[in-house]
Amino acid sequence: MNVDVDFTLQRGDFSLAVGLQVSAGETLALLGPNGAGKSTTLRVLAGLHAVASGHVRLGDQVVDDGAGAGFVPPERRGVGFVFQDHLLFGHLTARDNVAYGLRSRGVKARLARTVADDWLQRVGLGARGDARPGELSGGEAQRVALARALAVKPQLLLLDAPLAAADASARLELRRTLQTQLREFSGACVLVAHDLGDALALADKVAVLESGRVVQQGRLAELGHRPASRYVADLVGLNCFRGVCAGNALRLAGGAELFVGTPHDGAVIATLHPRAVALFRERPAGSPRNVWCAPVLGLERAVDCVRVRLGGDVPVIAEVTEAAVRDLELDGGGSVWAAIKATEFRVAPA
Amino acid sequence: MQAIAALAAALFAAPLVGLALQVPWPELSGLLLADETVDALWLSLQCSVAAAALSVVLGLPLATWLAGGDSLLHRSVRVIATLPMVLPPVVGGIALLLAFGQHGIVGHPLAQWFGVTVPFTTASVVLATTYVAMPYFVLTVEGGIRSCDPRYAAAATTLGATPWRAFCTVTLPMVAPSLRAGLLVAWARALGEFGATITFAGSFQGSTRTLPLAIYHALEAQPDAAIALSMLLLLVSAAVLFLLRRQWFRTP
Repeated sequence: MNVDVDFTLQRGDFSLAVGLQVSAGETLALLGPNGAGKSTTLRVLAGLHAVASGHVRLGDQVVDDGAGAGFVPPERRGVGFVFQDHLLFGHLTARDNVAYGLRSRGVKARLARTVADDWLQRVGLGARGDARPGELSGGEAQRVALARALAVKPQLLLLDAPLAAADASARLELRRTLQTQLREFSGACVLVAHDLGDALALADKVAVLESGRVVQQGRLAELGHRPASRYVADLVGLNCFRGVCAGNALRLAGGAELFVGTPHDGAVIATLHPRAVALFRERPAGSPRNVWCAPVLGLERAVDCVRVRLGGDVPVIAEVTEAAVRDLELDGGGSVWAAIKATEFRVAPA
Repeated sequence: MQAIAALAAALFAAPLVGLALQVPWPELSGLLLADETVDALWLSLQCSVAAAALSVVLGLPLATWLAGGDSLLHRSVRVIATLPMVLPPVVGGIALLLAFGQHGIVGHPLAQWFGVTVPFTTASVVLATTYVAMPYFVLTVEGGIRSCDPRYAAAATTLGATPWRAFCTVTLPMVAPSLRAGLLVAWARALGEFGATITFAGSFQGSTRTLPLAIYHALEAQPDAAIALSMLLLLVSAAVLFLLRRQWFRTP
């Protein structure tokens, strides 16, 4: 179903005014600092908060118009919600958690469990049906929560920071599971992403929320063209590389090769913080893998740092101090040596 | 400091030892199987179970409602629902007698319209014990529901459960330990109820003379029987504590 919302909401001192459109088959990532209203927006879509004015339209039905009379409660909205801390029911097994939605819709226990087992299989937990939530790792619990939300065949899937509960080692695998499930999911999806990498990997487009307002939305690649705020600039200020990994070697589209800390195979997206790019006058001693000499294309002064744009085969932005700019004599252009430790790259499957 | 602590412990231990030493163990079965004793046992069992059941049926909705708000009304109701815990039971008994007696605010219409008199019947035993025991259930369960994260029930509704179904299948199982604890304490309190019962229900063998009343009654004529029954109640209390060990004796 297509989702079309434009609403306002007041909760204590916090006011939220959000307009969003998501089509069936499309995934929208909500980005923004803490307390911007991302989770609240998901709760509005799910019917866990009523809006003060405006409309929430799911498919061709207005489920909330702020007047109260037409408010459709969560149990009749046909949405699937995956909460940040998964909220699995501790007294039920993983299987019964997944079967819960079907049981609530009157499906017989045996059939519901069969369907639940099938969903657990799909998220890679076929053998964990009898486990209690307390026995699952953060990543596993989030998979069960995903299966639980998908098992009722929702038209709209809401994911609140689905990767936050998983530890680093489980994140990539969980992200892959999410990618697979989202590809197969025919409805609309809105997710809260905590970093650009997650948004890149999972979403088709993004909306950036700040202080309860949507400051920018569109395709992810377009976000950096004209950043609407400092937050967006910082957000997209990350260096981002697309390429193909073979083990630790990442070959970029332009042909250059970088070395990354964690081995991967296949198409990947690697992100890198500008601070992780070290600049030198002379070729640095030792043998760091990623070292090259690059032309300085320009400087961008921010409050507490200078962003140095480098050209060449690996276009990258480095963040250095004003003192470093003087030492390296970057103001005059010319070229400089850049070095990046392989471990500074965050690599994720594209 | 430690000497005083030991003294305090002794204060609790001495009566237990004193009672245990006086129990006429050889005649125990005979004393416990006497007609009067069996009547009292049976009546106590029935009334305490009925009071515990009534505490759940009436107390669960009340606890749920109390957990749902903090308005002046909520706070006032919580005060009057907690009052029986601190009120001298005999005062509770007199208050019940005045309310449900022939000229009472409830008793008068009951007698006039339905021909029902409550005081000095088995029903009044159940009423008195429920009055005294239900607060324990309500407060325990309210605490349990309050400490239960409401987002779990919200998650259940996003999965298609009605709020009622979410309450029954998610919230209640999550507060099951509180329900169990509240039920046990309420039942134990009902079993031992004395003051309100003797004031509101009197002490008639077979209809209102529960175990505690029977013990009091037997104390002069048959002290051995009183001691045997006391031992029985002591054992029951110990069993209740054992069942509550998870809730009450959790060391962090």
